[in-house]
Amino acid sequence: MILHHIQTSASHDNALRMCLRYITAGDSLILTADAVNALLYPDWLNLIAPFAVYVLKDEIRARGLEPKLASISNIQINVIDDTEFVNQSLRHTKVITW
Amino acid sequence: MVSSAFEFMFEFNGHAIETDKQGYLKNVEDWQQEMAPILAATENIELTDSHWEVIHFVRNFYLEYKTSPAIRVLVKAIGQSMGPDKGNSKYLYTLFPVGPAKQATKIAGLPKPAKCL
Amino acid sequence: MKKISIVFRHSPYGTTKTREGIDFALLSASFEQQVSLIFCDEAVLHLLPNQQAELAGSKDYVSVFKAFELYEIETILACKQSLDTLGIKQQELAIDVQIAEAEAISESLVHADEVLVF
Repeated sequence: MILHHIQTSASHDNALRMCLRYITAGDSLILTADAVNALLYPDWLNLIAPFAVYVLKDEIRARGLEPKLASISNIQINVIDDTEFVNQSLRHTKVITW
Repeated sequence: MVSSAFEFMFEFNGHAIETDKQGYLKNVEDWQQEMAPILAATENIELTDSHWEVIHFVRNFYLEYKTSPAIRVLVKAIGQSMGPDKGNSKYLYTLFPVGPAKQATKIAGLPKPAKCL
Repeated sequence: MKKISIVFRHSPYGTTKTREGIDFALLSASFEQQVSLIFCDEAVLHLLPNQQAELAGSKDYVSVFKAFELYEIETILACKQSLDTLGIKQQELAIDVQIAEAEAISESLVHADEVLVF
């Protein structure tokens, strides 16, 4: 069970795409920094839907994306703080930062 | 006249040859065979044919792979090309007592291997 | 001895990522870690022969690929999908690698103790 950490915008960088190529069932995703913007694209949402998805609360608030997130209904997005990020890192067998 | 533009250098045939703080040549292409005895002297080594064989080997290794071999890789590579009598650390340490990779690369005008911090 | 998987995903010479990753791989291998390398996305372009990195203003960190065996780096995977997308065939590659389906790469990520992406 791997926690895949994506930090870059899917429009500028292939990190999310490559991660999704090799991710396996039971793995999780955490989106930080510009990577959170992926949540605004229905195509990306469909691709990440099979996995547990985490985002950092401050990253969402910084970008004023809370209302946008609230309107996402087809998948569950877990909004967490730094402490919970650490907890999740420990709960998974390893973290891969793409 | 030799300029003293470089922080670390030595003089060779009237030219200033730049080195790093530890005496490794800054530019691989500055090296000439005649420089080897001078570099060896800074390591208290008097060059024999056996030394030369290793020096040429590391120099060729660098030219082919563009990196200085650390000791383990040097031992293995020498073993593959010259056989187990020479491809062992005991033999190489006899020639270069402080450290074969460290000293042979210096005398061959190469950068210090990454592992030798 | 740790199993370290190093993933390369960036094109040659546009960034210094792969160079940093290769330095890390060689150093880890010198410290007797069990290193495997995975080339995916445009990083597979590093595997083409006859590169002249200096012409692109980069240090040549590709010539050392021929010495992976001396460093005891034996597992080198190249992503089949990435090669197919770029129209590259195994016989065009400069070094011996295993062409790996996505599942095989996933598996090697699962089995590694540490995975670093460059």
